[in-house]
Amino acid sequence: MRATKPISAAVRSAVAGLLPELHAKSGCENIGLARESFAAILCEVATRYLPAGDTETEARTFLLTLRVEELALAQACAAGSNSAWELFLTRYREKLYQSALRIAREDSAARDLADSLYAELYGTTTRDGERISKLASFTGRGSLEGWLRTVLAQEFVNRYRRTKRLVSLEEESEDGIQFAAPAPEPLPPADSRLESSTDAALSALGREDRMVLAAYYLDGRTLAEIARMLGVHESTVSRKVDKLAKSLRKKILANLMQHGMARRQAEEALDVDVRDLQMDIRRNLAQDSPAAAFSDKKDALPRQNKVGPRAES
Amino acid sequence: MQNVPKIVRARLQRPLPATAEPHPDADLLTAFAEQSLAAQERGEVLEHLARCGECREVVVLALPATEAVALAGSGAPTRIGWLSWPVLRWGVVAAGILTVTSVGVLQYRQRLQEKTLVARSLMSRDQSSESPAQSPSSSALANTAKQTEGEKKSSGPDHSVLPTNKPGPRASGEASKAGAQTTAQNQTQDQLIQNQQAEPSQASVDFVNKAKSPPAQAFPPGMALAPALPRWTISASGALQRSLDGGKTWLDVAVAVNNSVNATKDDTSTTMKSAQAKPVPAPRTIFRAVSASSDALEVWAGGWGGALYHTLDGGNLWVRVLPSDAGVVLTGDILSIQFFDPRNCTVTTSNAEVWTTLDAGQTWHRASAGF
Repeated sequence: MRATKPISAAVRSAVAGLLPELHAKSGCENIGLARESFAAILCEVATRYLPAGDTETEARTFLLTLRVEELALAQACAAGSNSAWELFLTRYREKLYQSALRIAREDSAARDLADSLYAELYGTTTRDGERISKLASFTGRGSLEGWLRTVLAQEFVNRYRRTKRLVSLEEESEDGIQFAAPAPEPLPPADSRLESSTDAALSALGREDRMVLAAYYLDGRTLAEIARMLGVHESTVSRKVDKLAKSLRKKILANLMQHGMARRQAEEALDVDVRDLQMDIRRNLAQDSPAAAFSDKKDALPRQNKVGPRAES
Repeated sequence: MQNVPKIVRARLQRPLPATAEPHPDADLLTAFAEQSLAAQERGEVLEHLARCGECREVVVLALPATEAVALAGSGAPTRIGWLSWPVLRWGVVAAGILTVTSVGVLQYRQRLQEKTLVARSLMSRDQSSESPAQSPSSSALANTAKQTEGEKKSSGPDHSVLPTNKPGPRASGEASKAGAQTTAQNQTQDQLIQNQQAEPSQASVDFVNKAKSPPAQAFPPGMALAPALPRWTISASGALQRSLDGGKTWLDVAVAVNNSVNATKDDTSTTMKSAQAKPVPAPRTIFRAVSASSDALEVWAGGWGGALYHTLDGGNLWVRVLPSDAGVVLTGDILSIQFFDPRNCTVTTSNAEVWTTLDAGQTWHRASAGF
């Protein structure tokens, strides 16, 4: 295994200090993972996520948040330990299929999805004659079960996008915003003031607010789904969306008026259907440009941290 | 939910710049969804999620099943049916608690009943050895704790306690008149009993001096009361009796007045006078009517000479009630008592008066009945 960054002294000493405790917690002995390998894995994970120049205390805090037991299991599986693999199958096989079914919502697609992930987890991909398991990229930041679901979801979205690209333009336009078809005729130039005012209002919002707006208004997510994404109560999201929608409108109007628009003019501009306005279609289409898949199967843990760049083209 | 201007959607949808950061890896997205990221990392992931529809979709798709969330992260992504173990587990616990509670309640009731029965049987033995007219001391036996203080005052003149031990000292004319009326009303009273049987909420027993009939038979057969609930009746000799075993055995109940209430209504104002500061055992009263609530806790009992008693705790603590309306006091013999709820009570007397209260005996209204 190769690390992308050199392992700092702070990380080394933090791992050394916590190793007895974490090793005991991880249950490495039962699944055939050597203490030294485990220490090396901890160093790699910490180096990967901690910004350079972090202190030993920060490294310790970070290490203590890891799910070491699941990390050890995944890494032992990746290293080819039979007992680890057996344990993994007992614990997660059924859950994997159930999660796949929830994501794909259709039995044959779910089996297909789960089976392909199995293959990756077991490590069919070989490089230099070595079996590389996708489990080697698990770092124990979240639960192994959650990670499996996320990996399934990523694979599902990748497939969906691949098939989506083959869909005709007509269907895409019916499908709506995300895969907007180019307008049949070139549109007249839009008022750039509207765009810049909106952008200013949006960028003034917090990250979470923008995420909530996008999830609600673009993705059509329910309040309950957004609440679960953020780990808050549904009513909190409901209030937030309501407040954001109101304040955004006010802010954009204020920005427009600052740009020298009369109030009435600004209100009219805001209420015009944006699709009637000229939009940078090419920019919109750029979103549909080939992007990297979520994960590079060949990458084991050290190089997994940065999944391929968004636009390869 | 409020809508946003279309331009907002359009600008939110702007694609990420070509040089944008790569997608967060599966570990980070998982940790984000599980709320286990530190503030800074969480902020970075949020920033990406705000602009990347695909990652938002991944996060939503990867959310655990809702039931699993409810199980506090035990993380079973299975649907949980009604017959599955997690549901049954709580069902078993609930059933267990219910069983234990009901057994406990039954045991408690049984024990209470046994205790009372023992106390009553002791008392009745005392009474049988004495003269038929109950002396204050014998009734005090049953209520010693409450009455010891009041003993010394018991002999003193008191308008709230009837001085009569027997019907004898009463004005003979009135007594005979009352006797005639009561016998005449035997039929109607019996009918009344039959009618009241139909009302399950009100276990009312009006018993008018049924000569020589044993108290147990005074209850019409099939009086559908739960065996655990006390039953009330009046014995042939005019004693108030209670049965704790569904009518098999009957024991006299000593009506000991702890706090006499004199309710006088002077046209507009109602004054409550506590005639007696200390509890006093009531002298022997000839009862003619008794009426108990469905739970047998509230009981009204009335008899000769306007004797009217009220208890709210199943006969332990009695209150003497003296109904009066515009200066007229209820003095006639009480022939029947009917009450429909804790506040609402109607008393019929031998001198053809119907007294009604709507406030649990605080104020009364007198009307002449049409017999």
